Amino acid sequence: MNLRQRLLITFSLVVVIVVALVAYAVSLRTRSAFEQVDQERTGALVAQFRKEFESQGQDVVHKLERIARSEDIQRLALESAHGGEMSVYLQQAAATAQEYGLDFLQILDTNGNIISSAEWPARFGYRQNLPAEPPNDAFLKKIELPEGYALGLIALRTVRVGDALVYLEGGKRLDLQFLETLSLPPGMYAWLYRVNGPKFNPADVMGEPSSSAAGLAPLLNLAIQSGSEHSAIVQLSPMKLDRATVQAIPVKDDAGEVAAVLLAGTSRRPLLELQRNIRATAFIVAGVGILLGILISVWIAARFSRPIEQLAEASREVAGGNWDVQVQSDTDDELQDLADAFNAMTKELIEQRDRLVQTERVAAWRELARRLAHELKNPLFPLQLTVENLSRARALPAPEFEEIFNESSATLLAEIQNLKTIIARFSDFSKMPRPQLQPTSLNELVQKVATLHQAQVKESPKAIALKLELDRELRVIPLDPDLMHRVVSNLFLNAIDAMPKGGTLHLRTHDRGEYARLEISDTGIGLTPEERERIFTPYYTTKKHGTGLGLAVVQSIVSDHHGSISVVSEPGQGTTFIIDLPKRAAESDLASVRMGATV
Amino acid sequence: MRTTLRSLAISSLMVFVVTAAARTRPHYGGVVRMERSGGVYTEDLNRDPLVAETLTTVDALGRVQPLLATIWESQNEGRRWQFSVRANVHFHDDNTLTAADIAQALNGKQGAPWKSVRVVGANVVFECEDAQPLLPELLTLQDYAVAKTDASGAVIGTGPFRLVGLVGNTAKLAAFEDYWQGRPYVDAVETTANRNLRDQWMDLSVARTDVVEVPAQQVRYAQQERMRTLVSRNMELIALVPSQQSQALQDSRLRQAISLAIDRNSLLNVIFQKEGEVAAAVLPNWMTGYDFLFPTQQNLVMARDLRGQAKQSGVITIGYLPGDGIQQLVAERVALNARDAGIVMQAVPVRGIVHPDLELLRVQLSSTVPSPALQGVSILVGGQEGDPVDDNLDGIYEAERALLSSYRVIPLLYVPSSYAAGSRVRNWSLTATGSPAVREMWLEDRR
Repeated sequence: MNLRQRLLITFSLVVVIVVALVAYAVSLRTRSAFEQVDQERTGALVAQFRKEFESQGQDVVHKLERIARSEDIQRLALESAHGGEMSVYLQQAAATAQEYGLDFLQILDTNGNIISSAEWPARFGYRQNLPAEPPNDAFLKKIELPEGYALGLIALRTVRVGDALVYLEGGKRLDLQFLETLSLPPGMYAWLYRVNGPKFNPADVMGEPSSSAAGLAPLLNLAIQSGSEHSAIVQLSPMKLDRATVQAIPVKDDAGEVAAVLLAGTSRRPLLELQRNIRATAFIVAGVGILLGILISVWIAARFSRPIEQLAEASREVAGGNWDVQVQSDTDDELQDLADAFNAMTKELIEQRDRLVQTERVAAWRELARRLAHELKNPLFPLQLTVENLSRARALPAPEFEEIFNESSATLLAEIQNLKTIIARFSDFSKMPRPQLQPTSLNELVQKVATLHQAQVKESPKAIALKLELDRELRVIPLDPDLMHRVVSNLFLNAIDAMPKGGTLHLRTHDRGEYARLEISDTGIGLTPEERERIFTPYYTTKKHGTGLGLAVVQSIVSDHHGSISVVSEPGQGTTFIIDLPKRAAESDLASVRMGATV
Repeated sequence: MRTTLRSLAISSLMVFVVTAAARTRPHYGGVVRMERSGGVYTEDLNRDPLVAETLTTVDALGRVQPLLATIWESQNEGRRWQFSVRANVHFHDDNTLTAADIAQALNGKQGAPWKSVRVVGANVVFECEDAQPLLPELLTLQDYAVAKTDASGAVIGTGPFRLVGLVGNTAKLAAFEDYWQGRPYVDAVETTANRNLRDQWMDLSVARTDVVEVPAQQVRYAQQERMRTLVSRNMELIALVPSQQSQALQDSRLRQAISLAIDRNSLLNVIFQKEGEVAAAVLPNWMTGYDFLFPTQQNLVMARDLRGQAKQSGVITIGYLPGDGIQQLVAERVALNARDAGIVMQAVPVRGIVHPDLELLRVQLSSTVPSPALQGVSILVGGQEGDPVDDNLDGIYEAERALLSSYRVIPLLYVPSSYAAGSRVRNWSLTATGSPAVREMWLEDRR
């Protein structure tokens, strides 16, 4: 990931995080404000419910007192006191309830037996439990009906005639109509759940479509079981926004049991819509921020990252060997300083390289002169002695002179030949030809060298084992077979020389993808680290009679094939030369390969 | 002067006496108006004894008497019956009743116990596959009335009245001048159907009608209100009939438990205001006299025990007709009683294709003769024709016991039919089957 991408991501993240934090904070504050309003509205609704409950209760009490004073009920009580026929009053409760606008009315005798029931006429004669002391106020009661239970706001009054008592129990149904008397502000709901058994029944929720009532079940169960207020957020319909904060307020009957639960709900739609708007705004702001981030990052990249990228590119070129690189920068800041420093560094490097080349060139000439002097000095000394000996021998008798002359001539010729050889070697090294590449099997070439030097291996004073491990997958590669034959022969013979006490000579080839590898290992005396450092330096040798040009020639040939050579060695552990040769010829060599292929 | 005054006084007295005598003496004319809560009148016109008559009838004591047949005799051990057709009886279209008319009317009657009805001279002969010792009694049923239809489909009978018109819910019957027992006193009868009780009573109070219905539970109230009520013998059976298809009531022990759980006395004393009698038998006690052999007392202990032995799956429903307050009250009371025995029961209105487990039936006895009455009830409550019943009390008892033993019918009460008449109706009486005796009544004023 480059600097530009990092900048873009960083800017975008910062914008998104900031916008998200702001949106979250605004949402939180909004929700808090809404909840506060909800609580106030719920409190007002509950107060209204209680007030209405009390008002309706007083109405029921007044009506029941008027019924108790009515002529029909007084006559009924009188007949009851005198043991009169009560069956004729079977429909009395229904008629009276209708007359006084009550939903429930039961007339009971002294023992609590039902004389007449408006809500369940068939219950005549059945006994009902009555409180020892009738309460003055109205109370909530579950009224048993043929089809189940209903909630009633009930009052109880007595009519006394002599010792006999007639009880009047009547009231109003606590139903949807009752709820409709509550004036609800917009967005607020009021439902009443009639507790009718332990299992939740959606049909017992008054004022709410049964399709959405199922969501109220957990809240209702909690409120009924605990007998205290609870609130929860309830999904009222499959529509996502149709949610409400519902407060469940248990309402208890005269026995202290939870008979109903008032559910005061406030729609969360306004809050959810506001939150959705906030989210939408936040998304827009974040989107704009990200766009701005891209623009800013592009600008910053143009301002900062481009010079850095130029520097990186220049560094890569320097690493690739092109030191003649200059970085252009038109800024007037640290990046300009960096570019100047880089340019100064490359300039310094070039100068040092030139100085080094000069120094190495002088050193090479010196080494060449030293080696040449050394090489030439050896034959010159016998030449000098032979000539001096011939001068002195001129005084000797002819036969002796003849003999000395012949010997001296032979010596002179031999040394002159030696000088020619030395000069020829140097001449060869200076005239190293360019490789003529042609498709060649490296395996066959190695095999040929091994066969050629088989006799030398066998003639070695100590036993040397020759092992060939050639990769059959390795196909022909572009090589100059003569030059490469020379390389392999040189390393082969060096390995034999390195194992005066015998050992194993190992020749291996590998297909290494783009390269073909050749490894020549011996188990000989090995090289010291210093020897490893200098082993490819021309005229450096560890042998008594070596010229020090062999490995230099090897390296030169390998290099001319665009390959590489390295050595792995430890003293006493043997030495391995590793040559990697490209399997495809360089563009500049393609022509010679084609030519070689057609020859 | 004194003589003149005396003459005047005597004349006035004579006018008063003559006028008073004229008021009490039957006279012809007038239209008697009747109202009923039931359906359209013409649906079962041929079952109306005012229009169509049967071969035999029963008197007030329940004895079979001749009507369109004068005499009859049985042959071949009750498998063959010969009835002599009354002469000089005319249909409403002035044709004389013949044996062929009777054979045509009664041949192929659905559910009839005879194989064929043949004409032999002036007689009709009923051929039966099995012995039918009670065929004369059976022929008292209005189902076997002799009637025919004209080209327009109108019913033509031999009864004292004939249909002359139908407007809306009101059917008008005119007196048949050539009625063989003599023309009725009133010129016509107008019967309006589908009138609720409150409207009937309102119309009677303002003299807009002459005869209205009085339900059994309202008889006491009507009498307190000094209405001219007449109460028949207990002619209507109120019974529970478990549905044959009900899975919930397949176990007879559960049906028995329901029967034992019901407090029939409360139903009678409170809901029906003591008009009628509790019933555990199909036929009323006045007809059989052995009603005491069928216990009517509530027995919750045994009911709970049977309930415990039987399996109940789900709620048992007891149906009532929507809008019938009394039926609903009875159904809810039965459900309450059943609940006391641990039986979960709920009263439901019967609408459309709803089939309750228990049906609350009100069956009007079609005959005052035990055996045809029992057969009629059996068919109505069981949906099947019962076997012929022996013409003796033992046979009727056995048949009734067999009918009740499976608890496929659970009798609750017998209640009477009751009517109230306006002040201008004279000779106000009910027939043996409990309907107003229109043929015998006359009106004080002509209209």
